Amino acid sequence: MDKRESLIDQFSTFIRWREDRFQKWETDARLQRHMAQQLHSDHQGSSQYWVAYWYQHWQQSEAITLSRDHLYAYLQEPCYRVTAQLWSTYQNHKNLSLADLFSQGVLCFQKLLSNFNPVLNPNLAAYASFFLKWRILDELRRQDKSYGHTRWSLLLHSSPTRMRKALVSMGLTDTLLECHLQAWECYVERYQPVKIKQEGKIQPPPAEIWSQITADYNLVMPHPQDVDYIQKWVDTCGQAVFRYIAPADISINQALSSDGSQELMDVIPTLDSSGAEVDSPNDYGAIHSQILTWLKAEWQNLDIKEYRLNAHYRTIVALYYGQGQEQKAISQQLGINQSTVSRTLNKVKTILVDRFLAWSQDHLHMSLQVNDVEAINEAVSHWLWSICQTELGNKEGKP
Amino acid sequence: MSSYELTPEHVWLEIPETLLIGITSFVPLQMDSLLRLNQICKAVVLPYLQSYFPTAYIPAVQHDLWQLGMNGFEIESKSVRLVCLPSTDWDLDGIQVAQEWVDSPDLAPDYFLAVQVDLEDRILRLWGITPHQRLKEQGQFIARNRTYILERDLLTETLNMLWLQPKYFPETQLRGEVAALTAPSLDELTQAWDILRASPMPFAARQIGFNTWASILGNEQWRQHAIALSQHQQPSSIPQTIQLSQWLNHRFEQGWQAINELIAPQLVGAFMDTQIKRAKLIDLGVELSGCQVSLMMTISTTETGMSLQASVYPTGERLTLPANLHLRILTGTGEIFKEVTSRSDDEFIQYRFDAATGDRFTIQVSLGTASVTEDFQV
Repeated sequence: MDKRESLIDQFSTFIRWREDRFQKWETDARLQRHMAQQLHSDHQGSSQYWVAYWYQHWQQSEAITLSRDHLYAYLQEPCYRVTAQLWSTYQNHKNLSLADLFSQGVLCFQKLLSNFNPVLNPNLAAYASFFLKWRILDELRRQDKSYGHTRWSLLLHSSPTRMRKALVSMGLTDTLLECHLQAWECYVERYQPVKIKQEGKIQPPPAEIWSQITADYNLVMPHPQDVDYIQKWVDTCGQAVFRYIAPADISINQALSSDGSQELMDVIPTLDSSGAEVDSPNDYGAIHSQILTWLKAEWQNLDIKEYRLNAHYRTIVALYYGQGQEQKAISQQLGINQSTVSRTLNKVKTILVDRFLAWSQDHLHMSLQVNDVEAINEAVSHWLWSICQTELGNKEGKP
Repeated sequence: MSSYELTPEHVWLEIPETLLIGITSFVPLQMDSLLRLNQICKAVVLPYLQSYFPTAYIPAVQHDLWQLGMNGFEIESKSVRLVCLPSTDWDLDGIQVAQEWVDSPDLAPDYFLAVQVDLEDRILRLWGITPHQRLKEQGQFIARNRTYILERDLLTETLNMLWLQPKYFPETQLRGEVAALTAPSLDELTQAWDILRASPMPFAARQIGFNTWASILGNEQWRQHAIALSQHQQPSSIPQTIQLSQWLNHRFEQGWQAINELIAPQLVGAFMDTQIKRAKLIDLGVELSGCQVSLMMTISTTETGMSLQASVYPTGERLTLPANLHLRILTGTGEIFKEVTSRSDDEFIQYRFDAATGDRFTIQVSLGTASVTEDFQV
């Protein structure tokens, strides 16, 4: 993948895939024109400024997705980098598709942005990398878990949400959809406690279980079915969930196909004339610095006894945020469980968010709502990273 | 063990090996996996939550709810009430919550907490929370199986919200509107018992109207009855002698209920304050298409003991007794002291008699080959 250098490219191009590889950056004409127009009147040069700018405008009018789409374009690079890194790390496990993993990342863009707050943490690329890495890893973990299991087992371990989406993506709707789902539920109820394994693999249910499943189904559904239909439906469910890959966000594809007909941007009043209601994104830097200064002092004075933290907590944080070591390596180095490392990191963040909320009430000129807690939590990771990097004596900059 | 890094936002807790082999249960096989999953989850999650909420505990009613097929358990503390939802699903696409947790005034919590349990790798994770209100308003209600589902993106994966929100944002609205339940009618109750007797859980519960079912869950006696029926036991399978003298202190054995819970009021005449009446459901068995009647005992004290009346009433939709229903009163030595038999269209049959303090007698209600006996002591 080629890194995008110009601001226009960063906020208006998307990845074009070919044979599961990055082919080139494809421009969305609508976004390109819009960005060019803004750059013409606002000569700010940093991508962090523009991230904050589009974020702000998107918050002001969520219905107009143009601002959000600029951010989606920007996110293509961090998403690709994370995907490529994970793909090469875990490629030996099985045949992974790079484009599929990338799509998994794209699916998270909306949630990612809803937890983002440029005032607290201006570095969207760093935050996105963190966020996407864990989401994609969750997906890999899920795939790995089901690998080597039969469909009968997968049927016992799929969430109703997933099953519903899988059946819908096969074209099932309304009554027939609910019939399939009910048959599957009856299968899970009856077969879960008595599942039969052969060489460790779960087998299809025997005839008498199918009869029971059918009897259960007929109890609760208005139109009774015979055993053959129930078996067929459950089988369809198995296939559906086995093949199901969540489709990536349609709006991105729509953005790519738009060709310049009556554009929404012709209708929106030019954004830079919206007046001084919003702080300039340049002000965000000041708040961010203020927070980091506070955190440095706070972190130095944190008392282990007060919080019953693991004795190694400073080392864990330094290794994780400072040196970027993985939890497993840290756990081996210190001779403790990986889950202990994970929980310690979690507890440190909780404590810091707690102290931040207390401190912010008097010192930060920002009124925080309960909805901000998620963004604060995400930001704490980045603050710790910043502090640990400077502690190491590295120049603070983009990762 | 999975080789993937543990998502740092989620709380990962190991499941001790001893837990996996130690759980035993005396419930039907189907309940077993639900019970096992929930007990394991509870044993691991509760201590962790107690480190943040020292007052956290699990209400006693929980064991009953598991036996009635409800997944999940409530954890209460001074600052927050949450329902933990364990799942063995491999994906985190969303959560599914039984309507009972969302729309019962007694059970609805502040938060739902999603827990993914991996019994193979012996690890679980707390991965998401949602306030009750968000689930109710933004979740999808599936009428077919009476559940709410909520997709992952609508959950909060920042778990420390659970302790930070009550501390810094205590005014936050967490619970949505939950309408009060209305008391079920006698007919609704009786139908519910029929369904529980005939259909397996959890499907039986769903055939009962939600208001009735939620009311049953909220009433200790009805709940016990429901459990017994769903496990195919007679409500009082332990033979016992009913101590009528204790009734004078308003201490009634299990199964003996206030008469308005079982018998239509228009069938029972007025009674005097000096009398104590209790009724018990008598199930005469499946071969008679589930014939159920109520045995009512009316007692009042006399100088030497008690004045008693044994009556048998129809229950449920029927307003008359089946023909040839026998009410027999047997002495302490087993001889038939009195027998009353119903004709068709009798609204009830009864017999009055006196007994001295300390006397024992038995009442037998029978129809065809089916019969039920109750032993009493004055």
